[in-house]
Amino acid sequence: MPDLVTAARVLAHERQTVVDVTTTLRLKVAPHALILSLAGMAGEHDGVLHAFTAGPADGTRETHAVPDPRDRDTQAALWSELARIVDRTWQRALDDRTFPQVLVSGTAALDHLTQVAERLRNNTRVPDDARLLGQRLSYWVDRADVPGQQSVVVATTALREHLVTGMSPGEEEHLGAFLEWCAPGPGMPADASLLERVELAERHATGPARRPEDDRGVLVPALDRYSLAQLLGDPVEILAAAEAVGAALRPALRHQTRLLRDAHAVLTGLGLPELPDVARPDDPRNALDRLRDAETNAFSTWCAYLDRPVHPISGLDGNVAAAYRLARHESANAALSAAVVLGDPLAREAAVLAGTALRGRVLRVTQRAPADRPGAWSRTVLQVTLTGPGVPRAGQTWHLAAPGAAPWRVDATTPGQDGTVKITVSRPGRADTTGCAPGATIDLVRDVPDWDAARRAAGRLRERDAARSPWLPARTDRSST
Amino acid sequence: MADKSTAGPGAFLRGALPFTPAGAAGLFAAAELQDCAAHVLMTMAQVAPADVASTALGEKVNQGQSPLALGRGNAFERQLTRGVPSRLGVALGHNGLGTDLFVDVTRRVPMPPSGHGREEALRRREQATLDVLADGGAATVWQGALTVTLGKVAFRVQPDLIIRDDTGRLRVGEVKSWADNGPRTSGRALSSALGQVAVGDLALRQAGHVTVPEAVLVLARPRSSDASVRVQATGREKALIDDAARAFPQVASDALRRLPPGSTLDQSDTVRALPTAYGDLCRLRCALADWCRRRAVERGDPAVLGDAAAGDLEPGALLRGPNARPPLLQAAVDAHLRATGLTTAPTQAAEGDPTRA
Repeated sequence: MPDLVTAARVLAHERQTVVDVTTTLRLKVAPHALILSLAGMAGEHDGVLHAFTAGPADGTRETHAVPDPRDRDTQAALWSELARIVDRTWQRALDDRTFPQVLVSGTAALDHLTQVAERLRNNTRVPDDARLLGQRLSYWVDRADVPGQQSVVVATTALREHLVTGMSPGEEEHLGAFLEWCAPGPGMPADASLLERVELAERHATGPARRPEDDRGVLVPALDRYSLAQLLGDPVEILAAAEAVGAALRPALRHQTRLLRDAHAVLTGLGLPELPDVARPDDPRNALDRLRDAETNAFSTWCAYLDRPVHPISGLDGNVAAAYRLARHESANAALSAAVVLGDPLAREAAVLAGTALRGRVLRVTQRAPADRPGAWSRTVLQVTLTGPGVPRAGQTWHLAAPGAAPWRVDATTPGQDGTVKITVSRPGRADTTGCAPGATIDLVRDVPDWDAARRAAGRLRERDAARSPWLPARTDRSST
Repeated sequence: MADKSTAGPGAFLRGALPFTPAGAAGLFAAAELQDCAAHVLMTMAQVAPADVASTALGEKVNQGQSPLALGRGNAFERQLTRGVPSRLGVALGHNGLGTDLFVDVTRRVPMPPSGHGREEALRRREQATLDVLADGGAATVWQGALTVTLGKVAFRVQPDLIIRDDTGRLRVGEVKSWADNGPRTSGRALSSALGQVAVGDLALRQAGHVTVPEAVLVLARPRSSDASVRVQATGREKALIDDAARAFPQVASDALRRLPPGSTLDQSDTVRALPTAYGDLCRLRCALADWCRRRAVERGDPAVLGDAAAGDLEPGALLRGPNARPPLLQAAVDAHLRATGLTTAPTQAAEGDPTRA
């Protein structure tokens, strides 16, 4: 049977517009999130940065370019400009006691940031501000892997988390194409069909890689002119050629930035309720608040770590750190998945169809009171008609998907007549069958979010990092080259 | 530069299109797209899909590599092979793949500066390669040439490295100028490189050599001018190219039977008569992807929603419209609408607000 995402894709295809794949908001994009457009250089790895546009979504953005990023000095100048802008974002987050948030176009842009971070963060041959930039970018790169994280907004991923188009997932990786499904972009022919608009959008790169034909037509001649001017040593021509290189890079950056602003507008205007924390109805914070709290906590921990005199950020995890990182990932994923299945009706529906959540119509409830002694368990027999493929098994623990999410241990499952099932469940103390009256439809889920486990796993990873033997000079001792 | 006059079994299909035989990367792309008869026939006729797209279909095709990337790749290869011992030799030696004999075929048989004589030079390079491999003893052949045959069609491929160990077994290697970022290295790029190796491996096996199904990938080491050497199994890629070698002649024959006599691939009607199979990989591998997607949309082919969705839906499922969806799809749509708080009635879904689901 097709899953609900496939169903949503079919609906999107029929309606020629995006369709929700969630009924709750999973990511809160700040109005002042840092928008970062990147331009690399074809064939160059190691995070070579040719130009960038950066600035808050609700403020002024700056564009900086260098004529030849393969030249270490000019590249360092570009890092310094980016370091200055990231520092503003960082300081604002510290002042607001929250966390910095960055918006990039796609996974390729995140990969590029990763390379810049790895190149700079422990590099003693680059200026201090560039190294600090690398360490700050490392924070974002590190967080980007954590399920439910709120710091790094990869536009295509964030859009796909909430919306689906009538294209393939691979095609949705093109930000311009995805946004055409949301609304026609500026400059699109008024009479163009959606498919024609998508094709037109796909002719533009969304960064940081550029289209080969753009390199061939404009950039390479400008670079050749710059190389020749340098060879001749003519300062006027060098300036003019550098300007020509910048002019060749700016249109693609402008386009990328426009797409990022559009993506920001879509993500901040989704109009969905925030993901609730069904398991804890007594706590005013919802699940999104908890994710944001975790983010703030991670940021303050990272800042404290950077303030230590020695703070090695390893290039590659050792075995223990890798295991802790995996545990952090798994704990965060488990908490988020549980919260989503409990709090998002669409995710619950998908879980029921997949058999990972149970749905049944209650026919009869029989309770047996616990023995009159401390710690005794009460037993309840639910006779239900299950409507999904999932079946509870003895020994499993299921939670009633209702505020409070009471846990039940399944003692026995007995198939009855007419497709009914008798489920014998028990729990410590008095039986609570609120919401299980005959005739009611109940959902049972396997897990409830354990937010503390995710926090503990993150803490263990940071402690491990801190315990590593120092292999870098203390920060105050470092000198720039 | 392609030589228009070069003949071959597929010459009658080319029409005005230039002879552009696929290299190892093109052959592996065709192997990945072997469900598409049009792509297989273009490959067997030794024409470039980009030429077919622009000439026969009037498509605006933008393909090829940036000159900056090409320049970087060439510079990386020069950097690797310069000096004695070369960085390449040292890196291979560290991985137990070093040999005393290093033969640079490009020096033995230089390529003429213009396109003229290219085929002859490649033939001589292949002969030089086979001579070295026939000598026995450990040796490394740098940028040799080999022939791989699919059906009766021969393709010349130029693996960057062929390494023969002391036991006479051969490994093929590829040099790529992109960085080895450990587990974060692009899987897609790695698979493509492994595919090129698998094609070279097939050529060696067809020439009667015993090979090890392992690829030697020489990549750039981040923050260093040294090389990073990976030795990886080519199981999936080898199976794909072996399948292609068996299937291509039959797929091409079946496709040819659908065409009227005298059809050539520079004609729009010819290309339109060929079966295609649009899928997730097409946008990465084929210049006809835009045209094929339009065609798939017109036909209601669920492949436009992605391979995963297409596996759940029957052909033409998207043509039926919201009032006649297949039952299983309708059940999933109902579940989606129920959960999002919208209607469960398909007719109402069709007439609902078109701007928001």
